[in-house]
Amino acid sequence: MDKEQIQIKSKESQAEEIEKNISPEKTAEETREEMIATSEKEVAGFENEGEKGLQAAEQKAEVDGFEVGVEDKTALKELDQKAEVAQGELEREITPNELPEKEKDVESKIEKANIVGITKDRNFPGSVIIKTENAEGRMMGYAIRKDSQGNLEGNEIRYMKDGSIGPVYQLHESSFAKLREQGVLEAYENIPTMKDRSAQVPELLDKKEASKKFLAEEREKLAQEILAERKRRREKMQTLKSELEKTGKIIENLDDAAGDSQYGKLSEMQSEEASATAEAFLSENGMDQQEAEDEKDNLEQLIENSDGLETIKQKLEAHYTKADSLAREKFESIQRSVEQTALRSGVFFVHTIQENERFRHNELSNVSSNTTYKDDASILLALEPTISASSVFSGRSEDGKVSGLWSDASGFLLGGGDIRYASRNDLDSKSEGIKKRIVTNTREEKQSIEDIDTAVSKRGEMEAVYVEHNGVKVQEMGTVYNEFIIDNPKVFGYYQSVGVVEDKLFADGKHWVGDESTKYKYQELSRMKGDLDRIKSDPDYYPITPVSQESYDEKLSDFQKKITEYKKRFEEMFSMGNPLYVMDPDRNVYEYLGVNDDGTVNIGRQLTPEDVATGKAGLPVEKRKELGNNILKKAVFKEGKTAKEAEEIIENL
Amino acid sequence: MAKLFLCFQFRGADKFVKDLIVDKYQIAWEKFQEKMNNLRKKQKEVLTRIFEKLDQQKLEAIRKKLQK
Repeated sequence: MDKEQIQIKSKESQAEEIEKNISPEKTAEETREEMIATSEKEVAGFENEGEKGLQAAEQKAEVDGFEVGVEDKTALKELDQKAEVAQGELEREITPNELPEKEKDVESKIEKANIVGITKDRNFPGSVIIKTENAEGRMMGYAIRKDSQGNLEGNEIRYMKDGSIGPVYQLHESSFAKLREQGVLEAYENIPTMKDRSAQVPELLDKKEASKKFLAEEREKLAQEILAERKRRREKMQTLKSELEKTGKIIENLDDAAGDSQYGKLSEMQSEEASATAEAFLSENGMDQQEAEDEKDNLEQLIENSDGLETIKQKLEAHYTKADSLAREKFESIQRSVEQTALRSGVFFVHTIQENERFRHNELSNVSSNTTYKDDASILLALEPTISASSVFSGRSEDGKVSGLWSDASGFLLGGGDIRYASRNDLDSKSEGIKKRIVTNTREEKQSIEDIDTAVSKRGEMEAVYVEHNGVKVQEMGTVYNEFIIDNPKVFGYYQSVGVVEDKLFADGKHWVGDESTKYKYQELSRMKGDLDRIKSDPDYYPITPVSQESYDEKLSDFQKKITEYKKRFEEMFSMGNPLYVMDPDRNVYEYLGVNDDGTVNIGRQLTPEDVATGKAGLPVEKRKELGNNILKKAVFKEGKTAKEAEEIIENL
Repeated sequence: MAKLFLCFQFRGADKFVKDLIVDKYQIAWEKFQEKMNNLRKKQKEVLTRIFEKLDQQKLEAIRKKLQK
């Protein structure tokens, strides 16, 4: 199509059309309806003309290796929007004012809105958009938010047929009452968000602090024992003192023990002092060596055996050793957490779910094969089961490597959890119940923080691993992804993949649904549409690639299905309480803001591992209970004991 | 359009009401048509501009080639 071929309907032809369609016998109501229908048709024709013209231009541009300017495309889109606004205004102007009785009747019959999606849009910061569709298929959105005083405010959004935003109106206070009756506010208020949390900072306490913090009860008991022993000791030492006084020597400052931990040492010194004194005294009194040794032993025994000093010393030592070990354990457990590991290494922890049902639930799975993707998500969010996950770095390494994942399509970003085991390769783990996951081919001993960090450092490379088969170790090639067994995972958000055109020559800076093939499919559809339109106007035209209406319809239907499923999945996950994100092939994560009909995805701010490690994570208890009870009702678990475990988890929340 | 709307017959409505509605519809329709015509004109301008820009780009490319 060339610019001369662009057919724009004239005013006369439109009028003729109406004249043809509207019979002079019609009533005012029928006429009004005809006018509305005709005006809608006219706007659709207008939009179609613009689209056809643009497609023709894009085709021409593609042939010559150029691009149609964004500003021109936007200008065309704006004209479409204006046409829809004009049509809306016409409709309002010719709609008769209802009689008061009738108005009352209408008001009392406010119907529940057909809510088709809940999303966000960067044009409406801080708002949640509840999308609705009326009986005529017209999409409306309500961008609702709260002001600084907590009052509701928002906008009504009219969507264009291509899904873009049309006219936007401010919502007034009175509108909210209607929205409540329609169920729109209920949908807004019932969106759960992840829980707030305070990040634990790993700090290695000294043994005294640890004793106070972790062993307070034992410390109190031990202190009482020490007091009792001190009292007994004082009495015994009084005896010793009397004995020494008899020899003319006095041990001074006997009761000045400096503290609990010093007490044993002091007593030991006193014992030594007593021994030395006895030795000097006895030698001065002309005792022989044997007599002196015997007397010394007697004095030492008096101290050692009768007052239980050693027991106290040992108890103190054991107590502080235990406190020290607890301090280290606590320190390590915090360091071992998902959030601290993410902060330390600058990675995202990701739990992916296979899209392909056959791979998602095989014979090793603890849920039945009819468990849906949504059920899997519910189990994860409600039960926080022990799962496997991988860590990924954003961007590429210097040698161009990208962090690998088990499944590339979609998954959950983990904001918290406890790392039980880490491996640079697939652990071949499988679940046994909910809070238990077993791993084959691994050592059972506890791993150090360094072991975890080594596993995290892997980025995409495939390396040799030793695997034991029937007691024989053999070398095999590992996987491109690492694997972590994580207890009590806390979900930060849900993501789906987006594709980008990697070839620098063809890069368009856009993000495409799923992967970059979406772009090529869209381009192919545009080409086919262009060819079909041209064939209609020029029967002698033969496109380079043969095209038929059937093949076009089939491809268009597949394309639309892919986009709809992507959109629906996001809406489903959002309604469960997950904030939404997208991940590009280089593992960069961005806020998800919506999908367009051409298969492009609108993205927002880029996320950092710190955002995930310190942000809200894990669903509130009430929402976990709700999702958990739904799962229990669905009876997805293969074994009764797993279902029972699930029930107990929900009960104990 | 005036002719179109004046020839309507409204069952059960007296002439006065009919005239009022006709006027209202007619004004609204004419306003809509005026807006649409304006938009068509602008749409044509934008599309023409797009093609002109592409032609210009092509000419530039050819010119550059010839200069080499």
